[in-house]
Amino acid sequence: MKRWLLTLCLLSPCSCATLNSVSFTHVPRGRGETVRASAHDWALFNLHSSNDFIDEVRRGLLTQCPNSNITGIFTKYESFNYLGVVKRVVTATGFCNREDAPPETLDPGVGGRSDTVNGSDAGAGTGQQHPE
Amino acid sequence: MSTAQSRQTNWLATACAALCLGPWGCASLYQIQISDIQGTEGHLSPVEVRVSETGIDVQRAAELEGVMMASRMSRLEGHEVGGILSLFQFGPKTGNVVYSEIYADQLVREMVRQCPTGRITGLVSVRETRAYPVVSGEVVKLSGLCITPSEGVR
Repeated sequence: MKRWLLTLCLLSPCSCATLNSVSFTHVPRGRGETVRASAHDWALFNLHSSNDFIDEVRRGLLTQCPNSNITGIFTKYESFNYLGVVKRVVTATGFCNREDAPPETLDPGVGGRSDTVNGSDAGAGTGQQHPE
Repeated sequence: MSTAQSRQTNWLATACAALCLGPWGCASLYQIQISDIQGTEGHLSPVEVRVSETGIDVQRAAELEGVMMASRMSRLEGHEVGGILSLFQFGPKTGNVVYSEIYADQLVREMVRQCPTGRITGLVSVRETRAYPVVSGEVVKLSGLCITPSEGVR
């Protein structure tokens, strides 16, 4: 019995990660500072009562980058399965383009070729991309 | 207690459990996408549109039908029907099957109706499911920020 409890205690921090969806929006030539927002919720045995936690993500982006344009938003939805407990995480990362930002802080980006980052640049390691 | 009475008791217990647990439908999230946010164009006010279609877990429905039937023969038939129906449901999918594939087509029209300026930014597209016993609500939600030009902004 003690051995089982010890095994459970050792395994409890371990989790299986699942990547459910990934999306990317257009990345402009000039990119400002990076902003990142995330929201998560927990549930026992994957019995979630609602999905309202995702509203926090856009709110978080707007809080970090108020009255500005946020572009190149990379949205990732993943879940982590612990022993009987599931954690769902939505993460969004984007570029905050403040109008009063000095030009030298803007990255030349993709060399003026296009506003869109192709799959090899944007989706490396993610395995999935949803073009807009 | 006879076999028929036992089956009836089981069915009543199942129905009571479904009624009690029904309002607490299990929420599933399949996909979320956030579009670019233009915060310099004017005042931003939130708008949201949600459409839902009833999905049916055909396999579960067939099994339930088998449990509810009195004779063993009809129970077998319920499983067989479920097996045959599952042959038509191969491939990737999110949630349960629905009988109208165009239920989400009205989203854009509704969105524009809620935002008379027609300028919407920060769109969050969500595909989710609210699962109940046998049936489910297959939901597509679109929330955004309606841009209302403020004074001094073109």
